[in-house]
Amino acid sequence: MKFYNKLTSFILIFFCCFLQAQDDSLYSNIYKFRALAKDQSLTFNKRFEYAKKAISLSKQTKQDTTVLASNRILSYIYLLEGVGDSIYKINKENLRLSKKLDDTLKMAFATNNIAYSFELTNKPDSAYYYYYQAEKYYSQLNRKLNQIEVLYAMASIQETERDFIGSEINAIEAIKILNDLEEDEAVVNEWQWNINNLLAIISSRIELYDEAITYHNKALSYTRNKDANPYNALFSKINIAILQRRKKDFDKSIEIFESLLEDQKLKSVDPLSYVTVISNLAYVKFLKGDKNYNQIIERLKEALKIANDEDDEIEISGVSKFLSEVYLKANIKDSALYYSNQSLKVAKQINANQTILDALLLKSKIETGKKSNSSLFQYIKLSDSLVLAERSISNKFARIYHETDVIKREKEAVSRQNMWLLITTIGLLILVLFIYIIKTQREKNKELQLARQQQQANEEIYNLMLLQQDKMDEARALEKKRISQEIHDGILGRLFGARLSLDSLNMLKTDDAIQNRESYINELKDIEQDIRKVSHELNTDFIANASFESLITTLVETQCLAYQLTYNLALDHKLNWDILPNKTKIHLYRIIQESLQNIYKHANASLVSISIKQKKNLISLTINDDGVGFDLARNKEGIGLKNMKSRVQQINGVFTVNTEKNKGTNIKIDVPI
Amino acid sequence: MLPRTIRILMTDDHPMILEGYQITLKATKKENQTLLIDTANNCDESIAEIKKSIETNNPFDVYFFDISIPESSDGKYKSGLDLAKYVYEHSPSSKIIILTMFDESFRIHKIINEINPEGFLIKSDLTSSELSSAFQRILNNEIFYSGTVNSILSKTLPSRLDVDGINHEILYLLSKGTKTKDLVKHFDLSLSSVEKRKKTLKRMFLVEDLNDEALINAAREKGFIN
Repeated sequence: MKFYNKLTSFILIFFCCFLQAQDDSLYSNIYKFRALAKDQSLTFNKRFEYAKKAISLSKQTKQDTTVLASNRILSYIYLLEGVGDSIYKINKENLRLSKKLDDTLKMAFATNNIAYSFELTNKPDSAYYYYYQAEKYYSQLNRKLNQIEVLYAMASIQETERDFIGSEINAIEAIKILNDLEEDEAVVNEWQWNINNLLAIISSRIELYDEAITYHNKALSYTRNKDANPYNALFSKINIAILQRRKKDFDKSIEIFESLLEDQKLKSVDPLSYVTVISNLAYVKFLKGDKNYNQIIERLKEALKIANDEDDEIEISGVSKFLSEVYLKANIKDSALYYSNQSLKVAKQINANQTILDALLLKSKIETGKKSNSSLFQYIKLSDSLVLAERSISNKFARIYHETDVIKREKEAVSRQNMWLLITTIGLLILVLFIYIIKTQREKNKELQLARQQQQANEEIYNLMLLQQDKMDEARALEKKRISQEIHDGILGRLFGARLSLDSLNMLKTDDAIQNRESYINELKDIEQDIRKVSHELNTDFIANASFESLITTLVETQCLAYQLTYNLALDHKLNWDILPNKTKIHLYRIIQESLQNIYKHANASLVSISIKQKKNLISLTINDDGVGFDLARNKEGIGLKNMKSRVQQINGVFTVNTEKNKGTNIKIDVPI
Repeated sequence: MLPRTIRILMTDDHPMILEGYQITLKATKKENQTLLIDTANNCDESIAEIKKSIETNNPFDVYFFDISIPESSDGKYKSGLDLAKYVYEHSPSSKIIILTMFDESFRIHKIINEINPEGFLIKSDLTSSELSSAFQRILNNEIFYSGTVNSILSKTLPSRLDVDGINHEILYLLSKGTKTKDLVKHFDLSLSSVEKRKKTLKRMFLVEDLNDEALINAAREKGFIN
């Protein structure tokens, strides 16, 4: 037994250790592969492999955080590689995981990467949408530098898509945040240049040249630092010169270009910039009115050659356009046409709309007749479609704002609706509760009131009974006195007289006396009779106990006496009043009192008949008088009648009045026992 | 013995009693006496007889008065007591015999104090022989009281307490169970003066207890009430 125990525990420990070891080895493998994937000395393909291995191992752990961390490494490699679709895929997965983990920062990064992938695959509106979401997350997290980065990306997309106003708004927003940013000066300067440069480009695109120049100068001011990118300064200067040219301030333009050419190394270090500088310098001189076309063409051709060598389509199309213009001016139309066609072709390859437009316009000038019209027509068509595209693009971005807002607003509305629903429900519940409480309270009050009324009725009848008892006690005392007096004055006197007479007659023995004595003995008999009578009177309690019957009798008696009415009272002596509740009794009593009062006040009656009878389970009270009566239909119910009715209602009785003018009144009340 | 005519007026509301008196007196009179007896059943009849006799200057020699008789219609004479007072005022030489059923100390005192009659008989212990002897002795200018009267009077005598009529009546009524607040109905007195009288009585009877019971007991002991 002991052995088995030991064995099992040993196996258990071993198993646990094994599991632990396996677990540990899994994680260490993941870490190893991650480190290898980050190794920059390895080729991208190797790094992809390691990253994918790390991910598949991470998936075995079923830990979202681990998977996400490995995914992010892969995403990073993809970003470096710039493979749009792959970036999208991995970041879509990352976004899902980070949402599941509720990690806003990782959500922001994934969203940002998705946006970038769309930019790479040339889907500006989708890119814009995701940048917009990323901006929201960064703003939430207060990641200012990321916010600037994203806003700049958004503004750039908008600029490319010719939504200049939107672009400017985002760029300015970015600058605002940048101005508040406390960061390394070099970083801040780089962003200042980027954004100001973007703003300058926007301004120039909407032909606000002065403003554009100001922005370029501002951008230029951030390149003075020795850490700054020298190309930035060169770029700004070239742009300023081009803008001066457009402003037709040719001397200033020439001055800047020539100062740039002073740098002997430019041609070898940055041949494309060199192309820009010399081609523009020649073009400005041409525009200024330099008639030395050959020299200008020579310079332009030199530039075109370098551009061709460098295979830069923008410069090729641009310089070709310049050449075409110069040839047109020199009236060498076939060359002019050749270069304008070349410019148009290359521009179409790279979708450089402005250059296409310029080339088309130029062609229409060079050509004649139908061809010219066709070029012009193409120009107008493209121009219109561009304007339309611009409009729709700007609408699209506005829509993204709007749709996001709408979704947000809808969410808010739903949550607000839910809140209202909740509030209403709670309100209703409270209301129901209140109503319930009030109702129960009211019922309780009613019960209490009923009990109180009962109590009052009891008290009233008790008081009446007491009063009646008092009256009867008084009457009894009076009766006692009367009987005592009767005995004292009447019987005793006569007895004394008889005794005295017999006493004196006792002494005589005459016949006369004997006869006289006989008469006194008879007298004694009479007295005997009287005493029996008094005794009888004493024995019969002339007033019954204080009963309800006596109460009613007294009431009717005294009221009728006071009102000088003749009355006829018929009470059912078999009725057991004790089983009736006091409430019923007191109401009956009051009703009789009330009706007697009414009869006295209004009826002008001389006879009242009152009867109380038991009919099975009913007590029937009738009160009749021989008075003037009243018209039931015409008369409004008086207080007296109303009182009676409410009293009858309170004891669940039935109340009926029969009356006619000059035919008396009959009141009938039936009360259930 | 000189023959003598004696004029008598008997007042009682019971004819039977009047008859009894007459029979007794006639049966026991002396030979030389002639009794002329008139009777009255109430105050009205009685006062009329009295006034007539006095006016004709022929007053009755002896009056028999019952105390509780129907009062006169003008309300002036409420009982035999008032009639007796009238007789003493207008015919002082007349003799009066009071015959009453009352045997309470207070009433007896009241009668003695107010009219002091020649004869005072209590009906309940009266016999024909006592009546005739009383009659004869009064004719002899003597005074005759019933045994009951004498014993009641002698009871109060040793205390020598001077209890006046009203105070005595108060004692009497209290002993009958009348409440103090109801006493005022019997006198023309305020409640406070009734209380004052009660205090005086208590002092008189040396009762310190505030209770009326003690006063009544003391008065009963002294014979003022029975």
